[in-house]
Amino acid sequence: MENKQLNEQQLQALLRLKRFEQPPPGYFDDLLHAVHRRQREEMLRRPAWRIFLDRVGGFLTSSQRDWAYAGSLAAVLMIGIGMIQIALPKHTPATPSVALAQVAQQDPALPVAQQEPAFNLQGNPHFKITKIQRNHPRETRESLAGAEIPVRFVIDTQPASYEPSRIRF
Amino acid sequence: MTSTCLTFTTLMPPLAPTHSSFPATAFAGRADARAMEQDPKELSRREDEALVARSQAGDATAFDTLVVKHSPRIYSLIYNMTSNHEDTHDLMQDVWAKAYRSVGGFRGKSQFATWVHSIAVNTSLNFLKKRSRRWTMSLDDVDNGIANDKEFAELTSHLTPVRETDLGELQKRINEAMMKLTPEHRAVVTMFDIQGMAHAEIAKILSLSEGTVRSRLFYAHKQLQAWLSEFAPTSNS
Repeated sequence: MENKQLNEQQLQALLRLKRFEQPPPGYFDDLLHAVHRRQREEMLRRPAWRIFLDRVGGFLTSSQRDWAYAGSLAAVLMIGIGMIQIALPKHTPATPSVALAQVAQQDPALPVAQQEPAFNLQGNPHFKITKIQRNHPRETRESLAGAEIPVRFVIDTQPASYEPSRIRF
Repeated sequence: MTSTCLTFTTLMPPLAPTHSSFPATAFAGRADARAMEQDPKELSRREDEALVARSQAGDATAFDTLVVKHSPRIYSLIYNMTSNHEDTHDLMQDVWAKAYRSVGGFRGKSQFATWVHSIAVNTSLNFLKKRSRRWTMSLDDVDNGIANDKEFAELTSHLTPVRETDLGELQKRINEAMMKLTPEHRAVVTMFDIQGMAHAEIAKILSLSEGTVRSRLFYAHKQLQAWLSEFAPTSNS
């Protein structure tokens, strides 16, 4: 008895057996479910910024075909920027002298009846005028000349809330 | 799943346009075009192109159709590389997850089938490099269709050892011999001998030259012939 080797055809015929090794019936239907599950899991594992970028990328890609999208997007952006500019008050530093001058200019225009009477505590009977006795000597520039006084800065402007609003409803 | 129940005809737009409204001279290679339209491989390629385009546009059903269509061949490739059903199942999911992530970047330079096969081969090779040594075979059952396979029937009628060997035992011996091959050689044998691919297609999938594919195939066949020599016909000296 002599053992030979398989020739090419015999080997290939033998390997054909492997073509008939098949997964259990219904396997490929279940596989599709598994693939879907895997896709969902991967979607949940992705960082939020990546999902956002994909969405924006997808939106821009899809909107390339339709120029109306691009036009409407640009219009919305322009309107948004305009609204923001209107809503935000311009920060113009106004000096007290300017503000006082404005008030002085406005006052004469008002009718006399509408002008408020001058506020005077002396005419009010509920108030009693007392004189405050000062026990300590008054600090003068001369007395403080030698002392070290911290420098104080006064911001020469008005708070933004005092300015009249430009928005009218 | 509803998507699996949908047939290609319901999902797909008409892929083969009719040229009935064209004048006879408008289309010179009409006979060739008809032959091309009737070629199942060409039809399948065009179906894939349409499905890929729809997948890239965000149509999940089109991608499902691609999964259903190509899974049997991808399964066969991975299963014959790993000889383990459970590993194959996990790798199948990996392959389709990778394909789903990358289908947006698929530019159609190769066929979709070639592209998915290359993902499957690379995924399998990476897996086999990492697989632990404590590994056991987990083989699928042999389909009853083998009884009707002419070439196998002819072989078993001529080769006495094969005829006398139990089918399950024969399957186990062939798989053992396959697993003795290096993963690279096994991939070539799987695609050529089991899946019936051409050398050129295998070369594209593996990004190798055809000469390298032929060389690997020759070497792998020599080894398999030696390891499966017990099934060779015996002659009285």
